[in-house]
Amino acid sequence: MNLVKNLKNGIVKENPIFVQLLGMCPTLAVTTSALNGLGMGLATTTVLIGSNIVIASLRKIIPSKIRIPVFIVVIATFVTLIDMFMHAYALELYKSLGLFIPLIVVNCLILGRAESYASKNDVVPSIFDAVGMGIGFTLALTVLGMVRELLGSGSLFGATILGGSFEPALIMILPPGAFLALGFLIGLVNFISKKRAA
Amino acid sequence: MMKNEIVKLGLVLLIITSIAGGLLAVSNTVTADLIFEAEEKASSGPEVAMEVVPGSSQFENVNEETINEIKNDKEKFVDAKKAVDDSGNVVGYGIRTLSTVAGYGGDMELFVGVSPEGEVVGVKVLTMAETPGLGTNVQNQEFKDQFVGKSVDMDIEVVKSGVSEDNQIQAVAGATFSSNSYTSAVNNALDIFEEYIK
Repeated sequence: MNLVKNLKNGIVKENPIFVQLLGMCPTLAVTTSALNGLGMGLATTTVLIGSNIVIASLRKIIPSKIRIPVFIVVIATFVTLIDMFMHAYALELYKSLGLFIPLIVVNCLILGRAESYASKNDVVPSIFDAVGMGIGFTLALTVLGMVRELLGSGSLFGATILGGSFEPALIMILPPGAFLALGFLIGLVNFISKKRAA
Repeated sequence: MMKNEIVKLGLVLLIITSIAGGLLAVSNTVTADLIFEAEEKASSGPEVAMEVVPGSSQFENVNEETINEIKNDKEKFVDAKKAVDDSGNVVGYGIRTLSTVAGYGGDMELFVGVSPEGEVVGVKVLTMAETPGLGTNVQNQEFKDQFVGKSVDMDIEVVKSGVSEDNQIQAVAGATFSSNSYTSAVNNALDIFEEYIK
């Protein structure tokens, strides 16, 4: 039962983007299209699951004085692995995410989960925590990417939806559009969660 | 006591980083060739050949001496290939070069197709970092097609409006910098063709 709660926690109640506002740098930078958002979300989720597993299983061996450097080494290793395999098997996505793949290392979501969850809990709950947070992160990035792509280039996942007379609002795929879309989405999420609580 | 602890912490960290290093070394060995192949295919595979030199089916290497000679003289030059059709006849050349005038996002990398008679037959952008929706419009068919038929002895010039001479092309609206950068790469390719390959 607790495991399901773990899962839901990351997706809804403590959604990394909409509620905790963690990892804003890749969130704002790569969500110019739905596919980029989804790719970045999945890459981050994979790293998060890997690092949570390793850190939860090593938590009794890692001396607390050097836990931060150990966490960073573990996370950086997973990120480098993802970087290499993406480069080999998904070149186009690799190119469009560019610098933001190596930057997953410093995504505070991952270090945050390592420090506040995986280093204090067993492996299985840590996996569920990582999957929940990962889905929450991926979902948020994909939705943000969809909104920006639809308004900014009139398409969804690369397929033209709003053709003809629709004039794309270029600003939505430029940096200001990221802030605008994110602000409105967070507002919407707050509005809905307040309504449900009432 | 104090000294012992430092040694112990150092050792733990050493062990963990060594394992991480070993893992990365293995995966690097696995992916290095795959990455090379994927890059090669994406930048000079058959699809690129067909797009850059219509009527061809793949690229073949030009002799190394020529390549090295060009590389010594032209720092922006990347590679040159022969484009051959199914029966092995040379139907054109592909010249891969960076722009000599930077756009908003630095140099772009282009593959320029030239017929044996010395006319541009096709251009493809390999990499660029221009503003999405503005500068990236240089990839539009309308802009690209203006280059087809331009001859190697011309110096192609970008004008904002009213093309009146043979060697002029119309800039993309709102993206003069990007148009200039793009054109500089084409001009560089044509110079290289005339000097070394013709």
